[in-house]
Amino acid sequence: MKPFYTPPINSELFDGKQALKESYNYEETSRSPTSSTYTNTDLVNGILRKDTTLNSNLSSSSEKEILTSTKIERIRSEIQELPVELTKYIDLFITDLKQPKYVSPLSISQLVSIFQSFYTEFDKSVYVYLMTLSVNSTNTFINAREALSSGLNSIFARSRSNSATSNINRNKSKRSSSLFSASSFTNMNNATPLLSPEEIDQQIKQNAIINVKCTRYLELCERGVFNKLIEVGTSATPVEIMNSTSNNNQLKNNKEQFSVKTLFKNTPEYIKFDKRLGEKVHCLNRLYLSSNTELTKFLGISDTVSMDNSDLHDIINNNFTDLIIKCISPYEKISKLLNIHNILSQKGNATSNDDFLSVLIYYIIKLNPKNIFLNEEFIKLFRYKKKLIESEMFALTNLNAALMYLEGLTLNDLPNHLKNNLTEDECFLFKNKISDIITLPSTENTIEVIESQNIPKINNKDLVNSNTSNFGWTNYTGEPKLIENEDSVIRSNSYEGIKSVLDGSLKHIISKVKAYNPVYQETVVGPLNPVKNSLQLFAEVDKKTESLLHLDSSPLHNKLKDTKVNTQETLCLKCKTDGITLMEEYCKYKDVPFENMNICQLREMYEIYQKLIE
Amino acid sequence: MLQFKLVLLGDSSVGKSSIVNRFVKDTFDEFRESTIGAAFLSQSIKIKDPKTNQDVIIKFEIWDTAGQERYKSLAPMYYRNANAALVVYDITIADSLLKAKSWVNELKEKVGNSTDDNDNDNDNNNNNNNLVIHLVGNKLDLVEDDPEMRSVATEDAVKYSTDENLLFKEVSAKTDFNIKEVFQTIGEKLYEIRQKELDNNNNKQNKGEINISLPRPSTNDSTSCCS
Repeated sequence: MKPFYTPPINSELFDGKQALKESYNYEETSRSPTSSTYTNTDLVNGILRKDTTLNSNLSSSSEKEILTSTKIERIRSEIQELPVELTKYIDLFITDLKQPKYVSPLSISQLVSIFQSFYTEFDKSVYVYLMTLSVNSTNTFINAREALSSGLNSIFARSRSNSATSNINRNKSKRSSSLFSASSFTNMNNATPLLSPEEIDQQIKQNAIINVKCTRYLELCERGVFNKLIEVGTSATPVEIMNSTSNNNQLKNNKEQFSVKTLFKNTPEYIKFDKRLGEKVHCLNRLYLSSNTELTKFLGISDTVSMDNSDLHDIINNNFTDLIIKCISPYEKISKLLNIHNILSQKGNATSNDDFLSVLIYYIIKLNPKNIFLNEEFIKLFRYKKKLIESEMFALTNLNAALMYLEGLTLNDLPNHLKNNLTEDECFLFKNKISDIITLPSTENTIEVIESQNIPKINNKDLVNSNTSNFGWTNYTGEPKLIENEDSVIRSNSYEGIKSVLDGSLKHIISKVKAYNPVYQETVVGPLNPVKNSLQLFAEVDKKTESLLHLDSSPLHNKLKDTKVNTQETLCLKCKTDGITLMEEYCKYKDVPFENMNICQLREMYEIYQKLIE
Repeated sequence: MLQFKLVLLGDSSVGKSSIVNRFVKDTFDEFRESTIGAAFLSQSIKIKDPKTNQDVIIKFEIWDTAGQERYKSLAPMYYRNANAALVVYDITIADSLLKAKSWVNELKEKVGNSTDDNDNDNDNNNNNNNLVIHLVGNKLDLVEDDPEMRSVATEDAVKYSTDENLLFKEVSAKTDFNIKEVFQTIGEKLYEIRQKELDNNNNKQNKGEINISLPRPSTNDSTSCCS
């Protein structure tokens, strides 16, 4: 298979027609595309050049190897904090979370869903942010960028690229597909410049860097979110969210240290479970305090594992303490857990999981880390799902398995001579498995739903068609009931007739129109928009729709203008009045399945669509 | 690159981890990847696409499990969402084959149940549905030195594997006999299954059995131009 090649689109040598011709001729690729006849020497040169390109490819692939180890570390260490634009995003999320809009307190699974959708959104924003940066810094696609800032064409091009990138976000766990993003950029210019192998390499590299940065930013995001929670007090937990009146007071008073426990406040099962498990482990700890060897025997730890090492003991102890107390974000906690894994397998010689799991249980009994179960669950729930994979997932599963083993220990599992040492209370504790007594609410379903769901863009639809405090993160199944904004209910009464005619999809279209924002600057910052005051945003939306849709002449609209409705309503109404004129046509194919449509109908639909955007 | 999760099951002394260690250390240094301990390893292999004859890289995420009887109830946590399972027994210990068989039964039972519940075209379900189970008899080297030591006849294991529709090989982690081949076979099988799934999906879409979202120009997110 011959790779495609053309010079970069901004090169003087670039010639569209020639480029197409050239792309099928690999031998001649590195020469100037303007000459079309070749002498023998040229051919030889071409072949020679081909060899050198191959060599350079090889060398660059070895460079990539370096990129994976030292360079990644360098890139990661360079990023110590989030850029302001992204930090604002976190602030907004926390503010939103603290809005007193939930009828009932959020259970942990609902909270997790909100967090996970936020992470996904944040991930997208980071990606867009980084892509924008890289476009700006390399200037490779400067033309595309300029084209972008004017004309409807570019609006669509932009939106296409937007969806392409978000598509990557959604579908690929790793966005290493540089060709994807490259093609999305080429779309912008309505030209299709083809990339040279070097450029593709460059792109792949660039994308690898962007991926590393993305990961890093998300780690920082997790830290940012939970740091922020400490800053504003744990009143961000749902109980306080409910109390809108006392919210501010509590905010000031609540200076208590953030602990994972507060997040589980509304799902007491977890706290009970954790408490019981702690008691159980404590009891085991007491039983085996005197004799290490007995504990190793009980757990069946093989002789090859070195256990009597006080250094190791201290290191593990420190790591557990860090995991539980010092570290705040799920990411930091899991990295401590990975540390423990590494130390145990290197120094403790626990090579296979036969040994490893036993040793882990051994240390949990020995060290009895406080709230370990809650911490484990916290990592599992609040670490960004997409990044909780491979070794992280394995380490977490091991910890989970260890805890489940301890949780499931009953009197029958204990050796006889120890049973006699148990007090009555302790006997009671070991009578049953904890999981038989306390059933934890399942969180998995909600999370999986979120994963498979398309989470709506934050800045568009939700701002247009819902009240101001409601952002996109709450749009998931099992959504807690929102307190109805009474204002909007009353206002909408007067034109209920119109409202009933329209289905929500028109709003959808309007929101889409908004998304095709022609100003480049705006589109770039697009996903970060919610950082602005939402009301201000409405004003913006309003202005843009006005200019895009030219709806001012509508009589109903004028009438309403007299009644001094606020911008929000104006916008809605404008959509609606426009909709009435188009309504019949617009709904014409509402119930026709796509497969059954013929080309004429499709054409007609296209025409309606044209009208709509005019 | 395709990525698959492979879980190791078997009694504690049958040499699960030595098989993986042998596989990871001896094969393809170029693909060496980071690990945590020896319990979690990831390793890539190259296989050939049977149709196009092109190289395909397959990455295994290998999860070791604790084989002791006391941890048996914890195993589902590990084999959840696995694409392949390597069930290991020791050919010098008859009892270990029984354990292996119980693992195979458990896998078939648990994994089977989870697919019956929802019939969606969900990735996880597809994966589970097509869980590749490879039975491996380890410590062949011991038997070669002293045939007396063998307590599981090859024929028995072969018969069992054919009955249960498993892949089977006798290997030696010590002498590196058949180790690479085991993973190669699993890789090829997984690739074959993945290809079939793709074909099936394509066929279904061509016949119009599924609600088509195909003709949409780019995506169905809220910013795209058609709804």
